[in-house]
Amino acid sequence: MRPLDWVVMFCWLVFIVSYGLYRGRGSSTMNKYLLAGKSMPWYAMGLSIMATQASAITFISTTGQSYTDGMRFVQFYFGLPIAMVILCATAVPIFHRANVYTAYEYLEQRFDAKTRSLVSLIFLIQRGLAAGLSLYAPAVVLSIILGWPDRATTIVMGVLVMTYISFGGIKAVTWADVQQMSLILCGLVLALVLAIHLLPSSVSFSDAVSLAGAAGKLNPVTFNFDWDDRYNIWSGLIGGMFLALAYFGCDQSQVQRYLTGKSIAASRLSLLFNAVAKIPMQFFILFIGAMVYVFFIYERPPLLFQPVELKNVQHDARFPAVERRYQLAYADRKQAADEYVQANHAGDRSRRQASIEHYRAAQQELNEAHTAGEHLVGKEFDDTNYIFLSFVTRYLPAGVVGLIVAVIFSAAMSSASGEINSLATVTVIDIYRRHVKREASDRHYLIASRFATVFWGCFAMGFAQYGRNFGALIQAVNVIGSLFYGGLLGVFVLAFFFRGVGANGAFFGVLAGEAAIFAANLFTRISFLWYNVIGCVVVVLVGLAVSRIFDRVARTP
Amino acid sequence: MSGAPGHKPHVPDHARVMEDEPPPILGSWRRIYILVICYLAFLILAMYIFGRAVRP
Repeated sequence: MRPLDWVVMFCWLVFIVSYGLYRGRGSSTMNKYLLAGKSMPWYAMGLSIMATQASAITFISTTGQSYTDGMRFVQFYFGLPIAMVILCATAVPIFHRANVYTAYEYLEQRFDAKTRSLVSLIFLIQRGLAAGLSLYAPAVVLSIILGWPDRATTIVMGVLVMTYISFGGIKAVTWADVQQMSLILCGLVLALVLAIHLLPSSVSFSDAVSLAGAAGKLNPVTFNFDWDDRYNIWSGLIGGMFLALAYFGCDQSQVQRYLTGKSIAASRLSLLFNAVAKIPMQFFILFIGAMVYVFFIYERPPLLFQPVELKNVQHDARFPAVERRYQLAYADRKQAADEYVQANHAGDRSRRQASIEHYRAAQQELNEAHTAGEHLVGKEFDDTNYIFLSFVTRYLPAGVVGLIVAVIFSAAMSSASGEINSLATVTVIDIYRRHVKREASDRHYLIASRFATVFWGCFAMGFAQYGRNFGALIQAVNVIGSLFYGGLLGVFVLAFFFRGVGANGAFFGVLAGEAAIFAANLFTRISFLWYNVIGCVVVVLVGLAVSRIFDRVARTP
Repeated sequence: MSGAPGHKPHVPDHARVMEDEPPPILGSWRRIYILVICYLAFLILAMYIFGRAVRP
């Protein structure tokens, strides 16, 4: 980071906090603090929903994912537009007409207090862990770029986020998200333009696309079906749809965004905006990763993109041999790529075919040499998350690096702010006001909401401080997040579509659904995308069965 | 096991009637939803064609 980069990053962070504070002023009642007085326009909600979903680690790892595995990750989002349509037709009008602060408040209107409390607790556990991760995961990456300890980075992000959300509530969150999403989009466009611009003058855009295509990086649609394959059209359409239904329909961090809408129409438009924009945006991010891959055909990539680990493994006795193998493989791939481009220009089909085979074999050897380098660090080590940042920090001009780092900060802060805000809302509305202090003034609950915001902000920072001690548990926590959505989705499906199901059916349905998901996780190799389908189906079936027996008995005088 | 006996859920202080409104274009939400699904089908098809076209 050069001085200009620091200036750009610092100015952006000061701006975003000041802007959040400015837009959040006047949040003087609980309704204004938690629901922005139901006054938000659709485009602000839409961008805020998108910003909350786009975490920093998603942003930096998606480009790396494309570099290593191609663009098929985009299929993960194919179910999202279908889910948005379903939610617009069902959840949005139901939640609005129920006049609730949280999705779980509706469950008490529909079922009973115990179902509401159970689901609220599931949300608090899941989101509480996720909020800590939202700060910790990007902090690890940013710390290497900035040269700060990761603890300092998490505290900086956490304090900045808490400053504007504890003061301005959801209005501050939403309007800050709008600015952050705008910066993220500008940063993405700039990164793509520069990735293409930095290619050698002899390599045209068309050549770059051909090289990425020949290496199998431009594979946005794949039809193979495999239960443990996360990214194909089937898991994307079905599993992705269930995941999006759960995330946007049952997760308070998203539901609260569209409950701030001034009308049902505004809330629907905010979701449909995401339905239309999300897939092209993900395609765009993945395409940047593919172009970064082509850039590194002509610029030798380091053996490891993670600079600290690269320095550490240089003391390993095996390093010289692995590094030599990597250099040879790189030189061979570059030669094969040149042959392929020349054969393309000449229109020579037989030469082209031979060069493709050479190019793919060289790519395979380079991948194996890179994996051997990763194994010098440890069997579990994967430096995918550092690929894009390595490109940014080593090759982009001064000022742009600061801007991209600011983009990553923004993505982390927008996710964390939405999560902390929703955790505070559920804590106050579904726990404190429901079970602890039921009749208090609006001012009392407003102050409680601010305290809850500070509590969850500190919790997230505290959890993030211990992130490094968890090691592989970080991976486990990511999986844990997906363990709960199926149960949440199932209970809302029962609430919306099965009017005959009562409180006991819903309660025991959720417990059975969660048990089924945990069993799938422990005893099968099924991809986590399918957990939502499994959990939802089990909740509905058990809910219907239990309700037929126990709810009927309960209703008998 | 059916919740707190006699408990009436809290009625929020921001309670107000929310009227459904038509969308700004196409006249009905149903048509908008159909448009979004068609758009999804178009995107998948376009990406499939793109993937086929760049694969040598």
